[in-house]
Amino acid sequence: MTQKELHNQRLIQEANHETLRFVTRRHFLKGGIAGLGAFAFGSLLGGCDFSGADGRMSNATVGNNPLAARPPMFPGKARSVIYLHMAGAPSQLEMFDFKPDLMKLDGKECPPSLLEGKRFAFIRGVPKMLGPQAHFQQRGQSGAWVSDHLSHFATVADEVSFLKAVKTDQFNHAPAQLLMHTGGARLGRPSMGAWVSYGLGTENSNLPGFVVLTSGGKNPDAGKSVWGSGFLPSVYQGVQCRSEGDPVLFINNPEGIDKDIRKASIDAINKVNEQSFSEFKDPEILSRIAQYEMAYKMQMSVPGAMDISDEPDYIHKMYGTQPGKTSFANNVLLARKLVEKGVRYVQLFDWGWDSHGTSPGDCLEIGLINKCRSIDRPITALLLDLKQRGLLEETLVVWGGEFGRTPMQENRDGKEMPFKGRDHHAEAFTMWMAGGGIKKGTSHGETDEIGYHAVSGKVEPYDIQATVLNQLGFDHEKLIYQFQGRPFRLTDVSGRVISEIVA
Amino acid sequence: MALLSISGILGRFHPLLVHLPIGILLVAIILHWLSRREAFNGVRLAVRITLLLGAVSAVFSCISGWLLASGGEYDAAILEPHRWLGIAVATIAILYYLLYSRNGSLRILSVLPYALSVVLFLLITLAGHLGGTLTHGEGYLTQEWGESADAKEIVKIIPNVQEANVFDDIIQPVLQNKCYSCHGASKQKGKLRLDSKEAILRGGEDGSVLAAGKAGESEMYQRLTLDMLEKKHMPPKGKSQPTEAEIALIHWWINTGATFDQQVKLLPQDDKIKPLLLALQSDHHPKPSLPDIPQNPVNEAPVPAVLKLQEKGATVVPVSTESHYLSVNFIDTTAVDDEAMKLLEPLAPQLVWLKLGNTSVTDSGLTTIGKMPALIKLGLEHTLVSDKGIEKLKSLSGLQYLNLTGTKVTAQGVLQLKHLAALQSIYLYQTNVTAADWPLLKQSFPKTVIDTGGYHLPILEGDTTRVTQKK
Repeated sequence: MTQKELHNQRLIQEANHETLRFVTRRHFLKGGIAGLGAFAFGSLLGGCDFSGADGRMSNATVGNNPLAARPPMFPGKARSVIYLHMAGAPSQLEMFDFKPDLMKLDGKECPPSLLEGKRFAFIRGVPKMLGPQAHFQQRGQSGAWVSDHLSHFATVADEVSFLKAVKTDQFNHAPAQLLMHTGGARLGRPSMGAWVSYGLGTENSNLPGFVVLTSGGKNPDAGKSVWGSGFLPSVYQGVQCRSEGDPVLFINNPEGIDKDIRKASIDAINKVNEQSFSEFKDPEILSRIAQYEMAYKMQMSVPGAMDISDEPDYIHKMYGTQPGKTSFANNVLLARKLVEKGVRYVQLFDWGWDSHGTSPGDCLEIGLINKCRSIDRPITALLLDLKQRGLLEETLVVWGGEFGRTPMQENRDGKEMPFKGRDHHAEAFTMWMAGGGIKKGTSHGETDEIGYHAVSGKVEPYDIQATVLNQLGFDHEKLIYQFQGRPFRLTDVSGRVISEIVA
Repeated sequence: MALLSISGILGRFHPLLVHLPIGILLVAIILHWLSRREAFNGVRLAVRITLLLGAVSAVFSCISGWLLASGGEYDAAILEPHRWLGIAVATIAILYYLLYSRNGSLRILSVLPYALSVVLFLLITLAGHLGGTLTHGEGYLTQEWGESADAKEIVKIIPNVQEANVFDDIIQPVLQNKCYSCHGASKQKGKLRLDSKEAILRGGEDGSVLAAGKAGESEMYQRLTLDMLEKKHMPPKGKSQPTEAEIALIHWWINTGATFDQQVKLLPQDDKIKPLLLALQSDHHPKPSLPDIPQNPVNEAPVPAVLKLQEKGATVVPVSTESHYLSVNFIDTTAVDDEAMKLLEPLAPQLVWLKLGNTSVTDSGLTTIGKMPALIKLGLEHTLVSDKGIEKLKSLSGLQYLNLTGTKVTAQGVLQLKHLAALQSIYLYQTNVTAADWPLLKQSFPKTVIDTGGYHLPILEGDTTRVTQKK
């Protein structure tokens, strides 16, 4: 008996013991009676299996693998998505939404009409208006306003579609991030990336379909739920990778276990799991099998895929990357590499955009400029690099925060702040999209003269989500999942594809 | 007045009541015919009472229908036949009942009820269909088979927008596509019709919908711009919505006086409306975007061939659940050579998107690729293909996207493809195409986006420094 067989035998024995412990007399009686009923019920339900009529079609060759590549509902323009989320909410008034009239009001007291019935996260009493704290210019043929904070990005403004009047209904980071990524401000819903992997599966069986990369020294406020799978099978949740040290924590074999034993034990565990699946038909068991398989494959593929040091020098120069460090730039370059390798959805979070004005790091005159500098080169390089590789046509890039910032200067607890800052603002902020079948050099939506309210072309997080799904080939109203007796979808009961920016 | 409102309420019961005679009379007919057979002798007793109930309910349906119709709002061309067919149903049903219960000895009296049952069946069908047309709109029965509602959208061709008539050419098509279904010939919700100048000026039950020169005060514009969640928003949620541009055009039309016979050039135009007007012009679309996948349907790809490819590590997926056209890539594997290309041959009619990037395919493998007539996107990045292989792609007349990044091709190789009219983009980053080749390439591919890449970003002060607190 080889070591492998011995190993397998032991595992099966253990599983048998577990099963025996599990089957009590009550189970036996229940199983005996319910068995007959279940038999009849099962045939009544007919095709109500895991890959059933839930908005996706299983093709003949997909079988039981929940991650197998699947066709979208209609031919999508984009094959993958890179979503750049600036966690903390960047100030649209210092980057894209130029308001010369606000400059004239600088230092004046905020009129009561703007404050009546409003609640702010920190502003109390009557705050003062704060003019734009950046120099703006119109850029490219499209004449888009981009501030000098983003001098590199300004050169590619003609590649993107700006959404100048995004409105959310949450003014705290965590719920607003959840709303943006899961379609609900409360916990428990699947994230957009999970919906995408659920809909499309993954083309590269060695890599997860949904990868998450974070920078800025902190995970987003909403925690891992912003890339969770909610009520979808857990196989669709985002896999967080790191650009420093082991790319995925605990992916290496423990001491004393070599590759063969690891493979043998995973095979044995999967065999047991397959038996349980044939018994219980719980899709979570399939997820478990797929995840064991994926983890094993990732041991081989991830270190290569996540290593940016093999990129040539001029690429590092272009992105401003320094291998071996955790930085937004490194993550952006990684995102490009992953998309090249067939990863469907790469989600980046960069913390540090919460410019309240309480300290040098989070004020408009120091912290925000430095944050802008840290993304300016990488995002510009990303668009150009995707373009020259023929990938921008089929890769949708989304940039934005969870909300915007007020045209008023923050006066935390009614006091004057040591630095210039702005409070959370849900009424209107700027996002942009590029590539993946999005129009070039357009702008949709407008805010009023001070950037307080959206006056035209208002879009909501649901509309962003509907548009992302549309570019990938899904009708957001039809990509559904049955859960607790009702169909669920990413956009809940709202959402409109922003056709004004779709090419 | 009180009587009128009671009759109004009774009229509302018509859509409910009509289902009774339809169901009951059909059951009566079925029972009647069944009772001819020995085995169903027992149902004979039920025929009479069922017929009576059917006839009575038909009479009530007629009464309620008459009251509903007196409220207006319906297209007379459909309403009148529906009205009289409904009355005919009730009349024939009563006659049928009387003749059936008479049951005399004359032979004619025993055959006539059967004849009447056939007539009644036809009348019910026709009256029912017309009733359905009244509530759901013309063509509701067949629209699922025919072209979809979107495809029916009327697009007006405007050769020169400044010469065009503002109402007939710009505003009316919008109303036609987005409003007529409820405010047109077949239905007049809220007693409003928008399908003629007179009807628009007449307004609806709440009066005028237009305030010439004041879009903000015009009901028509207000309703369009209400929040989607408001009940009064028009068109109602779920119906096809006008685009922002269309709403802006209506705003401009009302503000410039809501005229019905002016030429566009005679109306004031600001910077915001000019591009919207220009976009309506027929020659404004310089490059009609090609369809992503061919329009003509294709048979399903042979499953054994697909499985064989998948064994090789290929990802084979239809481009959509609705289509048999295929997308094939080898992202999952690098062990793909020219030999494997042969496996693609059985999929030639279906294969539209093919990614061969980073595989071991060479020029000889492209011989097979050249025989893929449906191919639209082809990725050959980072492969060993060269000019010799490119020549074989000359036959791919539908090719729109070609990625040659990181190959040895030269400008001469690429120029072999200059007759491929569909080509929209060629990617030539890290190839042997040099800057000197640019003018020639640009001239040979006037409509194609050619990207040779090699972008550089200058080093700016902000790249290397950070702002610090001034002491």
